[in-house]
Amino acid sequence: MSLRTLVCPYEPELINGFHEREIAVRVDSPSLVREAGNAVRNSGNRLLCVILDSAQPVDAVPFEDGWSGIPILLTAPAAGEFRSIVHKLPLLRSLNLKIYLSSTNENIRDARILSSLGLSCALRIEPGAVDWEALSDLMTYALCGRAPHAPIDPFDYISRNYDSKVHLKWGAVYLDDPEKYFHLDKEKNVALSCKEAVAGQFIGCLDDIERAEPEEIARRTDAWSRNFTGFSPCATCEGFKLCMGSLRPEDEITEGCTAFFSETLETLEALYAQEQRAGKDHVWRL
Amino acid sequence: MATVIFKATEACNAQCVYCDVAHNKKAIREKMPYELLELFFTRVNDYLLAKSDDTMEIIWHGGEPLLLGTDYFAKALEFQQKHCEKTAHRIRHSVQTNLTLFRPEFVPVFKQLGVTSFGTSYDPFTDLRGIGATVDANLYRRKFMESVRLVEREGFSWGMIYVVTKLSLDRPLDIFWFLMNLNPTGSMMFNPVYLRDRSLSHLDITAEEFADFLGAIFPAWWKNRWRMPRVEPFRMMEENLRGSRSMICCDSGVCAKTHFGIAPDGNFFQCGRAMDWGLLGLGSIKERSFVDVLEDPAKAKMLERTKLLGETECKGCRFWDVCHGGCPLDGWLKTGSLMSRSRMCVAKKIFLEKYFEPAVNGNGSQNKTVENCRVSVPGAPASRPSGDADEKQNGAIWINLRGAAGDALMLSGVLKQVADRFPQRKFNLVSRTGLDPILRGHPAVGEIGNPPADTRIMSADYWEEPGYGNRGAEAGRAYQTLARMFGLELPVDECLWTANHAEKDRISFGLPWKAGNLLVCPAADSARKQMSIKKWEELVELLSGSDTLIVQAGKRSSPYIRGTYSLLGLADERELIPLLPRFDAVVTVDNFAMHAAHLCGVPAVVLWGPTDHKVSGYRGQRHFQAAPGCGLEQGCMSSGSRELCCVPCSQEHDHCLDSLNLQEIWGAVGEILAEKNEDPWLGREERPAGRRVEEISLR
Repeated sequence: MSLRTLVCPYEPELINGFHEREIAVRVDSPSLVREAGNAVRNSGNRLLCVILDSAQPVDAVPFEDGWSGIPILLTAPAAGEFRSIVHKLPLLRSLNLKIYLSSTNENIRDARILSSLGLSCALRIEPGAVDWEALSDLMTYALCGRAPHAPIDPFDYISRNYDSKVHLKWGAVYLDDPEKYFHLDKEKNVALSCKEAVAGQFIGCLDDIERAEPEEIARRTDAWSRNFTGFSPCATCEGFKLCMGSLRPEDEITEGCTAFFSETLETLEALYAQEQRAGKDHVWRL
Repeated sequence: MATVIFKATEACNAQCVYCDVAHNKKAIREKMPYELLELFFTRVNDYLLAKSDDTMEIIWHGGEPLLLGTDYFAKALEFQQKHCEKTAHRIRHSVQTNLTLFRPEFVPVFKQLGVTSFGTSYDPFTDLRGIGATVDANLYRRKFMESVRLVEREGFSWGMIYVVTKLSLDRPLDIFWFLMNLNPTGSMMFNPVYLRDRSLSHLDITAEEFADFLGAIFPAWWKNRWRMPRVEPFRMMEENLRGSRSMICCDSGVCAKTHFGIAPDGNFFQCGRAMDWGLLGLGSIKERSFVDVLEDPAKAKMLERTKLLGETECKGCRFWDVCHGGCPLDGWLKTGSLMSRSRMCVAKKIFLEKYFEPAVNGNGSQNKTVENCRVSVPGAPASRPSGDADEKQNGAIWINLRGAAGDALMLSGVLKQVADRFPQRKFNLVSRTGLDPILRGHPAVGEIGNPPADTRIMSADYWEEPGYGNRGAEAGRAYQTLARMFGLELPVDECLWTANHAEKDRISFGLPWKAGNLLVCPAADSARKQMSIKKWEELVELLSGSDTLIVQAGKRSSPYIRGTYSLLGLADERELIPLLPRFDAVVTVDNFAMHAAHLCGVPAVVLWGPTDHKVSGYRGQRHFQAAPGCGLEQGCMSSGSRELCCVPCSQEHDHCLDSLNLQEIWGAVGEILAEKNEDPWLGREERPAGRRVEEISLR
């Protein structure tokens, strides 16, 4: 079994108990960012990132010069006032920072602005009421926009990892991929996603799981195949290769997500074809 | 490649309602005994020793071959190692299975046997297949999906057949996406259901229904074909109509030459389906070798079927190339005779004409093409021939033009001469993507499109004509042969012609013209006719100079030659013709540019390898003919071996065209440029004198 990256709360004792593991450490206060990052680095483990779960919008987060050199995953409810973000831009751009937002209409709009300001960001796409058309516009901007802009995930991740021959899983963008990440509580109980960790849904203790991998992990990894035991809206959807049924709406009305993922696939194919042609179709060459 | 459908058992753990083994015969439940299995591998070895250049594909079929268990496959491996020591590298194994029994224990033995792929089938509908006596569909699906994941984890490839039944007809697109989303790593094939059991007629489909089913999903595949290329029969049809020759056994017309089946009791049959239907038995493995079976008179008779159909039922069918009458057993199902064509022939025809061609010909613009002809060609028929007898008798003859753009240009020249001499004669042209534009607007061509059913179609395959390619005989030249086919008296002047000749040149204004201007066209439809990129780059380096512009023309996908000014993808055949006269010379191989240079009267230096300048070149051009060094005296693309044209040359670095002397070519180009008023190479050191290469003597 391959060793997973551990996503843990900032508990020095817990972190010191690991050796040569890759760790993403979670804090809920900006004042702990540097301390948590250093704690992981000084413990003989590798730091993937510090996850700062902020209850404040981005504009209200007290960013510090001292965070430079620490990879930071900032989850925030919203971007907030751009007036105040603009004042912090030189500092924000100097940090190794990615801002995670939920996919509300406002956040879809703000992700584009953040990206155009040179700030890397990600939208968490989840089942529910998503404005798929707005998301589609953002995808087009993220993948095809000619104006310089920072990457927007999951689009950036998808375009870098897209291969038409395989199903693409992009849960890793949110550290939600049981093949790569385990989410721990301070007792080393393992959850398979961030949400489940917050909800206390654990599948067992890390030591036991790493000794004998429970079937639940394979079941979760292969969950997509459950769509194929009969006709389901997701199994017959053009965009399945990207979504893999993970966003199946409760009402099973899939027009919005189907159109979004089909368009994304088409865009990826166009980009791929462009890449293949690179070097072959220069117009004028001397 | 010889292919044996090897059924070591006909037992199965599943029940599929349309399965021939389960419904049509008493399946042999026992496994093939080890003695016979050992004898089988002895026979395999004997065959491969006798046919030293052949390979053998063993398709483990059933029933369900995984019921044989790992021990059985281990035994097969043991026998193969024991008896096929010197031939094992020419044996390929693949397994046709429902996958529900696939377990990790099978992995090592399959990998040792060299199995790399599995063929399987699946159906999203309930009630069609399931496991055990209870036909448990849910269990089947769960096990299938588990196995698919295991197969992929272990690095095997897997492909799938989907059997189209009556149930499928309501949801073609759902089925298509369902199967595509399963993401088989191998190919995906849609087959019509074949039912001999009349009690299942509620599942049966007609040929028309199958065609419409394919037609409903074809646009989705066509749009997405780059990310799901291996969907059959679409991919094969596309490739075949583009000139390749990949066909499944049913459509090859030569299945009898290559395929046979073996039942668990060691009896030979023509193929797996024949075995399931108890037809075409060919004796026992105990008495006969594989060579013997493949040369059986019954097999020879099956080969005669192809010839017979070509001359009778299928005569003149423009889809003959992709069908060859279809599967003989399919014909038997309909008529009781193995010598009749497949009942699914109609499905192919409907699908190709109604769905495939309009899509492939570009945005369903077939009608537009016809309309254009009506407007631009005086005297062309006012409407598409309706197909009634009188109209057919008095109307234009349909020509099926195959080959490349150069062939279209030759045909255009021949037709112009026909039109000049016999103005009343008119021809229609079977639409071919890529070749149509050259003949659009031709005074002898009325319509470009699809002929009505049962129209007699004239072939323009001059290379199939007797006498073509006879060196030294003028009548054996390509143009002359084509002229003869159209009733012109030989010899004729080889004047190419196109209605687009006078089209406006929209490109040349942007080129940085110099004192000397050369056009190089290294690409050809066959890789065998091309010189290597490295040699071209060396040649361009020799030709380069501050006063010389070297422009490269070709398709966007053609490799770029360093040092040239690229027009790749910017000038198609119609656009190249008005551009050509702006150049002082063309350096090319046997391709469209060679013909176009002749048409435009531009001096050309032509490099020849497998094809013969005495057959296809033009007087006045300077030809450099490489001698074939591959042992094929007539070259690899003579009339007897044209099928090789689609296959790259096996000689690699010894490819004949790469043996040409670049200095001599440089010299010949220099002479052409020197004939101009101002010699751009004047004063440049050591330009060798061009060797005057043999010219073709024409009247």
